[in-house]
Amino acid sequence: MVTFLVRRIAFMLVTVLGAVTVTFVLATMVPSDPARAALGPDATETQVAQYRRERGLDQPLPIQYVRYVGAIARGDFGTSIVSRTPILDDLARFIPATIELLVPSLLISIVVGVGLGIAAAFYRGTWIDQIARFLSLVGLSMPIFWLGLVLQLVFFRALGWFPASGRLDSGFSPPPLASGLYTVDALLAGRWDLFWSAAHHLVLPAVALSTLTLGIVARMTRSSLLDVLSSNYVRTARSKGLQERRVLWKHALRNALIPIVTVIGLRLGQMFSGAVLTETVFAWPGVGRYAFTALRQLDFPVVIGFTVWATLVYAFVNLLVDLSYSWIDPRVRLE
Amino acid sequence: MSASSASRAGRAWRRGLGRLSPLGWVSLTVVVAAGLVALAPVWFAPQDPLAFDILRRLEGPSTASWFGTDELGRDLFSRVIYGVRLSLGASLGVVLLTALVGIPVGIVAGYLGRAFDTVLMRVADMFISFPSLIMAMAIVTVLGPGLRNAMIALALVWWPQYARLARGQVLQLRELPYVEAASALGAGSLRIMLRHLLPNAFTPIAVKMSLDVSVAILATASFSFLGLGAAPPSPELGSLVTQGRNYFLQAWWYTTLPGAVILLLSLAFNSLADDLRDLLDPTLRF
Repeated sequence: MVTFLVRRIAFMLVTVLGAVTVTFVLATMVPSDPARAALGPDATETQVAQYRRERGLDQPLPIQYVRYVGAIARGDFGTSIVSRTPILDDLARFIPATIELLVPSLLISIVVGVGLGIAAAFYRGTWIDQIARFLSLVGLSMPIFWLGLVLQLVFFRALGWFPASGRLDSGFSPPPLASGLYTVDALLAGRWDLFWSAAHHLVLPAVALSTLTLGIVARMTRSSLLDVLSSNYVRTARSKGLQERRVLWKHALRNALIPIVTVIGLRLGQMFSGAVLTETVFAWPGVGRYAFTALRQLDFPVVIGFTVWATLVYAFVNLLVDLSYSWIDPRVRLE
Repeated sequence: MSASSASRAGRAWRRGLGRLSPLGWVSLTVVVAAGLVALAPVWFAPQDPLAFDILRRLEGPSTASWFGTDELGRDLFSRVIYGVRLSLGASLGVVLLTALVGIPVGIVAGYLGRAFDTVLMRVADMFISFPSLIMAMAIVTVLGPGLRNAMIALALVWWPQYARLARGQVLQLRELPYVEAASALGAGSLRIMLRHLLPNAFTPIAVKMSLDVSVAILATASFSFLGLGAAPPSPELGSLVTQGRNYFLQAWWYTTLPGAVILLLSLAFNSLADDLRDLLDPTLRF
């Protein structure tokens, strides 16, 4: 177990170093001059030269690289070229909004996806199976930016049930900062009206973001459950007269869980990309939109900071997924 | 090809088609139609996709223009027809490019083993651990927005999936007697990899490629939507959705219909690839 953890954490660090290296190389390939970009067209040559000296941009690239990696290792992500605020502060400000969006959409994907998968496997070959498979296929094939716009058209414009963008209604100011998640902070402050407004704003973007993962989880649940349902011990359970429902819930589902949990972990990394699209469509002030705006403005320190953060979270979640294997199936030994 | 092998191939096709699900048939029709439209859009587009008529600005769907018109009065259906050509071409391009990079890497790593394997697969693992589309977005930004650069960027982040798959296949195949026999007869590594390993490792790779067409359709459309792929006034489907977004409260059809075509294409390729997987190798699961 300890060896496993040490090896995994070492690989995690190598991966993050890889991400930093790739983004650093990309940043050096950008045709525009970062010093000029930061200071604007009106700055004099002397000012630009001074900026380069202060930031170490006049040093050879290998030295810049080593310094940069050293700074990141110390937790110093630098400052944004455009807003001139420390990137870590920006990330801390935008990450809660993205988490607030990711958690419910992951929950929707898991609950609906696993439900569809179980229904399809349980009623294999019937019309219920056909419909569940078709729905999961639609989820897999959905362009989420388009779904976001259609949801806005239907539920905002036509029906007026949900707001189209932002995190709160215009009359409200954010709840006192605790977690940065408006729903949680509103509950902590005992403000039901604020909680309602925040939750209301969450519905459409969370649904849009959940579709792809939902489709993948449903398919994985179905195929994994079908594998298990054809195994010998399930036959034994049936032949000793257990009810089919009991066989499914008590015996089969837990053993079908490992591939499902794995695919959920793998999807989380991809959901950051989905968050870029969803946050753009719904003007959601999260880290995906922040990174995308930075990308458009060639603000590479921000892009690198975001990539490092996303890689770390992704690696960490997958570590948790691996650790969960031995909890789901005690025969699994982590080595 | 001899007459008997041709008739055998014909039988295999008929058997395969006979086992298509009803949804598979619908999907096959959509895919074939999309292929024809992509090959010769000029036969299918009722009007010139670039001809504008400002008097017919933002007209809703009608018998005259099935998908309505855009802000310059251009026929949206004709633009979508040309958009299918761009989107489909780009997605097939991405899948081919990705496979062309990934498969050789995987085969070399699997067959030659040792240092090749360790180095290539560690690099692949690293790429798999990145949030891939975000990395691809960064690459497109550096290369400059455009459909071709979006294709290159996607191939750069997706190749490890093919490398892993091909390597896994080769690791199994290289232990088989026929590879040993070829080697004993004096075949060189390159010959073994190209003539013996590649064809036999290809079934699961082909299945993955067919499944990935739909992923590539969505990814290229998303890139164009974000302004990283095809740029307006290009009728690429994702780009049409972006162009329509500016008018979407007054002209629902402008974003909705091109986007629905993206969904339809992606759904058809997905469902057909599903059936193909069941036909080619029922034990495979992705």
